[in-house]
Amino acid sequence: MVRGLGASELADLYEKYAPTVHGRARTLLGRDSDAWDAVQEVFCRLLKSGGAFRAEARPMTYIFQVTTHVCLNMLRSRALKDVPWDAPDETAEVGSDPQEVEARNLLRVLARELDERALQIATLHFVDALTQEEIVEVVGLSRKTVGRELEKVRSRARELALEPRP
Amino acid sequence: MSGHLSRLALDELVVGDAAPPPHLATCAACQAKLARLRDAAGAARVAPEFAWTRSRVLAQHEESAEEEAAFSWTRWFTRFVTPSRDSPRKWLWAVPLAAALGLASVVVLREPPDGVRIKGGPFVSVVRQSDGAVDATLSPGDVVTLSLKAAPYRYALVFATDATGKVALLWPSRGTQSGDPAALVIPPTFIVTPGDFVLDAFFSDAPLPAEPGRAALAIRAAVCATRTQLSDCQFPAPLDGAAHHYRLAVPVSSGP
Repeated sequence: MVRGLGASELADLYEKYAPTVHGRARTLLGRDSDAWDAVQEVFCRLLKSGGAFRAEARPMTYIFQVTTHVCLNMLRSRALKDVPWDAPDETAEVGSDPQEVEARNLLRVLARELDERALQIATLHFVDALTQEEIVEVVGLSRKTVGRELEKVRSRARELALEPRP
Repeated sequence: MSGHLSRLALDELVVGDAAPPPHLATCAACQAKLARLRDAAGAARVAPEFAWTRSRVLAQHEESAEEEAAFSWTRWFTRFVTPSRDSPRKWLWAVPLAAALGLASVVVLREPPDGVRIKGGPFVSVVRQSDGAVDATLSPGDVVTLSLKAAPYRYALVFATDATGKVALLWPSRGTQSGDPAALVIPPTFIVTPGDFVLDAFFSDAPLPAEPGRAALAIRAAVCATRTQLSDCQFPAPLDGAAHHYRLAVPVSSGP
């Protein structure tokens, strides 16, 4: 049986990774309060899957994967309830980086268009600028599958005239 | 690809998990981006929310440790009641037991402590339509709306347990598995009947079948009714596949 994370181990991981988890959640979600909710959720998930986390050669890839999953769930839930897709992003707080706002607007639209896996890959590709190898590592799918999904999301983004500036 | 460092690579540099790649020394854009991420991480670390969130995560750790130590009725139910390929008859002995528990469930269910709501976390609330009161003491005949927030999860399953220990699937009202509250067009509305009740909401990333949850709660209600210590019943029943459980006790006054 895999041992879960101990309290001190969890506290150490929080000290080290929570600020970057918050930064990425803030990029994806736009609202600081939502980003802290995501931080809490990410660490609660780490708590439940301590063994899987320890087995990772690159801990950040695992944290990246969990953070993506948590934030996209929040985003998808918000996308279904929020204003029409072509309305401006009013959830963004003042002072947001324009590139971050552009990335969030793209995600808001794609959240209504793509399934869960494609949306995750689209996020890693368009928002986080991960290489295909990095995406393979984070999502744990084959290179072929990731390549196919990438083609699909690029094509959909082109149809929607949304592909971000290079 | 642009050739610049990805967010993953930059975040690894921020936390010190990787050595700076050669590209960084020659790329002003990546250096600026890294500096911004380091500043943001520094600001997050000194924000009051950093400490509050850490407290909540560590509190969750303590709670999980206590739950681990407690007996899991769901695991017990799954292990002994679900038929398996190697021993298809193993579960048959549970039929008379289930019938006995069904009879035992007429014993009054003790009211559990009120749910503790963590800010922003998934929860269920009961809103009285006449005055908008949230999670207030209700009266028979009150018309209430169920307010359900599943984020950061996607699916929710809500059961109501009445004072006699009878468990019913409250939402989704039709169907056999959990639903996506974000797809709701009209919030679910109910008329309150006499007797206190308890709502148990289970949140998950994938749909959960309703029956194991209903059965586990019914068994737990019956067992709780036989215990003398309130602490015996204070932990929610863990449900396989559920990422989060929220419990809300709703008192109903005897008068209209």
